[in-house]
Amino acid sequence: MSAIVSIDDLGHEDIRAWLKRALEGKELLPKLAPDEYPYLGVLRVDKTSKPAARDSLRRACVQLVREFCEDGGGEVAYVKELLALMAAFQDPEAVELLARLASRFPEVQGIAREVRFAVLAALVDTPPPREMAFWDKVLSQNPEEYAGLALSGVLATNPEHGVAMLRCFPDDERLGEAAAIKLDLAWDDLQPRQRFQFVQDVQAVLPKCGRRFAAPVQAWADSKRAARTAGANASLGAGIAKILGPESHARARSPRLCRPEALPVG
Amino acid sequence: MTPSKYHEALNALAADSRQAVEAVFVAWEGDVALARIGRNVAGETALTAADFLSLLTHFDEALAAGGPGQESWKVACYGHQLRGRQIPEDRCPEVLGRVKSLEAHARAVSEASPGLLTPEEAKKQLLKHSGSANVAGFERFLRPAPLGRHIVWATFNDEEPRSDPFGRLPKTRAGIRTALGLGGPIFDDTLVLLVWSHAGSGRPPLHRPTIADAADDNPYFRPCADAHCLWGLTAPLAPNPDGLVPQPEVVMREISSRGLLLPFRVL
Repeated sequence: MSAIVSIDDLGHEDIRAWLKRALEGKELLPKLAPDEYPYLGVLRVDKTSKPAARDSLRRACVQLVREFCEDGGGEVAYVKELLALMAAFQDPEAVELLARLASRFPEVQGIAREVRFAVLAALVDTPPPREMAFWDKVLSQNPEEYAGLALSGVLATNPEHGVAMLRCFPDDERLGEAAAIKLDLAWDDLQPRQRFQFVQDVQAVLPKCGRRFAAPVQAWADSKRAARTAGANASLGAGIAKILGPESHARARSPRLCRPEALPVG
Repeated sequence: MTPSKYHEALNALAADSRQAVEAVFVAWEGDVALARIGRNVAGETALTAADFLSLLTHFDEALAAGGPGQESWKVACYGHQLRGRQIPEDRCPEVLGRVKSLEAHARAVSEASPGLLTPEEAKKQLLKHSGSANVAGFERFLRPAPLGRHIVWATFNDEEPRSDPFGRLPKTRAGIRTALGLGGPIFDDTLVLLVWSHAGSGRPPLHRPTIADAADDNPYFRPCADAHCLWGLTAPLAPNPDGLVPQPEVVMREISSRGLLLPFRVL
């Protein structure tokens, strides 16, 4: 171990060796707090390094990911740091390597459960998004374990398919709570005109789901329906009013204005 | 002149051990980060004589086993953490707080919910619910997340120990970092301000921090010169244009967010 180093003057092999030690927690790194994850310190070193060193650091990260993907081995804490760094660097080659490893999970023995989760989470969080078929295969490997992350992966590219997947999910309340959060994040990303149908689709599939899983998802869907009623989002209304003044107050939708007979005739 | 606690402990070692330990601290003087550790050791006042001697003895043993200096120091420190004076129960603050980077806390939330939320999803939830007392379904995922890893470093308001410690600090990232003595010019991270109830967290013992808690990876720690002080003090970052005063500082074992007070704030 050594003091905080500048990597600018190191050759590629030295940078690679430094990176591995840093991710293992064996290098002093610029941390915001002493208990911070090492990869965040590496990102700060990266930010202050010269272009050649930064390029070398990224190549070293891909090399370490490739090394890990050979057999999925390595100390769990180190692998988690490596995957977090990879997600931050967003290197497409590294993403591809991880995707291939995830496809081979059933054949590769001895990969710790939390490493498997970290691999799948990195694939969810790092572009480019994987195809729907990839996540369907992941889900089929182990629906009990991978349902949550498979749902995240599918919602990123195909929310309709994500909704359809819900019926295959284990009847687990905590998974239902996580699904509600993921659906809410997907809802945020939809065009306003798509949102109502999205909630309708979720509600339509819930009768086919287990009761424990469905309850929190139903509560989410109900909250979205309630939000459509006038004045439901009081805090948002108050916030808008505070910024823009009382004239901006949301007005209650009048059903009369929505009915065809209310339209001007002639 | 009274010898420092360090010199008392050092002098209690056998001659060979004393030389080995001193040689490492002398060698570290040429390195900014390691020299800070050496100065902290020399200025430590919160360890008992027995614990200080034990710390140096273990350091010497690790060196004798062939370990590199810094690794040996770390190993010795890890065996002597949370040994600073325990704050008496009737002097413990009711409310404590700390800052973390948003990325770090998002990952902590994600790891506390294995296979359910990704770090990015947790980050979006933290941003979405910042400042809100109602975090809806996210609360089930927020509560199990640890407030720190291994050891939690926390601050509090020593004048009003029931109030939010950030209430009397500046409202900017830079101001908060300056007061708590964290980071430097390259640290522009988005922060999460976490405040929790001591009682709601099960009243874990609070300790005055020592060099062993800081080990080799807390460059911000400065030992408090007053041996009788109940807690440590942060060292505000220079140049500190607003003259922010040092803030109280304590350490405790890793705890979950069950006592977290809502709202948390992302800044």
